[in-house]
Amino acid sequence: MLQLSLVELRLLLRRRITAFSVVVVPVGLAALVLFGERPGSTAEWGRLLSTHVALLMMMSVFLVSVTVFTSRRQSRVLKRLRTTELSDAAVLGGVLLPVVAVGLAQTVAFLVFCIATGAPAPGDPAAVVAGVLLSVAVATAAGVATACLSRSVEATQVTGTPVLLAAVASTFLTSSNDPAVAALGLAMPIAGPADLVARGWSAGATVADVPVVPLDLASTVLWLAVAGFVFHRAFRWEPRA
Amino acid sequence: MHAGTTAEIRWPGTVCGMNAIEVTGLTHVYGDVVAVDDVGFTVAEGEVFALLGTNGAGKTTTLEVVEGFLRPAEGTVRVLGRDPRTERAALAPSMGVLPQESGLIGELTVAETLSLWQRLSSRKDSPAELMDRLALAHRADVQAERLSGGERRRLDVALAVWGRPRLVVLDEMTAGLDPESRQRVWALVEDLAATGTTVLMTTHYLEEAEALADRVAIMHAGRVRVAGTLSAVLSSRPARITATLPPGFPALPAVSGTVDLDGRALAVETEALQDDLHALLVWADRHGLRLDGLNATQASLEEVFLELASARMGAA
Repeated sequence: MLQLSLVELRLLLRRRITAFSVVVVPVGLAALVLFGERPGSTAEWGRLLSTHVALLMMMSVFLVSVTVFTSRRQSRVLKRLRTTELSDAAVLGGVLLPVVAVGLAQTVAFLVFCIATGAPAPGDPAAVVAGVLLSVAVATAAGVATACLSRSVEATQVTGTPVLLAAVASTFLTSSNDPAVAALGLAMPIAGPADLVARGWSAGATVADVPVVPLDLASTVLWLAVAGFVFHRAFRWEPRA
Repeated sequence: MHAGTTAEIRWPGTVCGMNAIEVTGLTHVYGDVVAVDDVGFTVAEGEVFALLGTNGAGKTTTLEVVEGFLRPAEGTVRVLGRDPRTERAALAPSMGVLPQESGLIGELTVAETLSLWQRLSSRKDSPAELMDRLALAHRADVQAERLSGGERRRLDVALAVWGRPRLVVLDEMTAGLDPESRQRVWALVEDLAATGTTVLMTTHYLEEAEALADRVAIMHAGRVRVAGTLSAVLSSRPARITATLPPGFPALPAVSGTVDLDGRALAVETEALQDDLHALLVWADRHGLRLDGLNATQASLEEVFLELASARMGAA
């Protein structure tokens, strides 16, 4: 699987548009943090950085995994790889692992940059790490599920948009002072893991509008389950007609 | 034609006389459409077996069940003694597969593609030698998506035969190839077969089956209609004698076949070619006649194929 992943990683970085976005998205977000309004408290830093992590995941991991997975299926590469000695799981993992690795690398680089330029260190690093890893999991699962429903790479612009918009909306909704609106935001894709990042950063600092951890996990499990259901029902090794 | 026998097999652990593939009562359904209906055949170790048939006959579906990618609705399939559906991982090191559709990673060059396969396979082979044999060496640094259709297919074949697997399944291996490329691929398959590799192939090119296959099966409408050695399949259909008779020819001799006389154009379809040809020649000699354009031929695979195809059209 690693051999396939290395080839896919090379191809990922060989594509100009992808290579461009790999650099531009985290740099752009870092610039927003550096030159934008600086948060006043650790909790506000946590909220800002978790929002950016969520955007990074959706832009890098979700969108790229939708495109790569759809492209590889439609061009029958997945089916051809099944004729090798790789297991089915290794074929899927080999294609997706580079996307995940790049997304994680971008996130780590972004967060390290932010801390280096004045952001407070996270109060509960373990919670932040858990939040980031769950973010990757949800973004990847949502990407694969969306690819399962996409008939072509072009169609992913339609099928991926609702998920992307919902994720973006969640970053606004979870910041609401209205608990009901914040809870609604938490029900959106990737909101749960992002909230975990925010809570981890503030390390339990009291923030009235931040919902509790069980809700974060419930939201995460919900979206992983939805993605798993779609994958189970709609996954095809061959192009969708 | 390759005349490989089980005695020539060089694969370690091969049991003489063992079937590499056993298909019994195979049925596969897509929705309401029965794609494969009660198909059965065996392929012996070291044999080259060709599945022929019109489009939609069920050849590719049959192959995909054998490859372990489709679960049959009914019937059993054993490949190298294993269930391909549940034991695909165990079979993969012994099996090379050429799908009907390419599935190459377009952004990889020819050399990179072979290099990837080298790393994904436990079988050993030489990318340089394969590129050379399939006339791809001069295209080593060209991305697969920039290759011509024939070059892509040759690269496909190279991946399928990588490391000389014990069993190769080839679905329309020479589709779209020019005659020279086709000869190269044929030579490669003949070479594999000579060293004991079992080959299960489908093709639309009847001359390809005639050139490579030890046995053939002709499918249509999801069923195997005719199967056996080429000579057995061909002898199951009447031979044909044709000639142009001279003006004012006398009464024809008695023959066992069916006589079709259109003016002076004579056509006899017979299952006793030697006897009927002898009767005609004696008759002509006795009357001092010259039989212009005399031709006596066994039924060709193409005729058998077309007969089945036309029967299908008639049924439709």
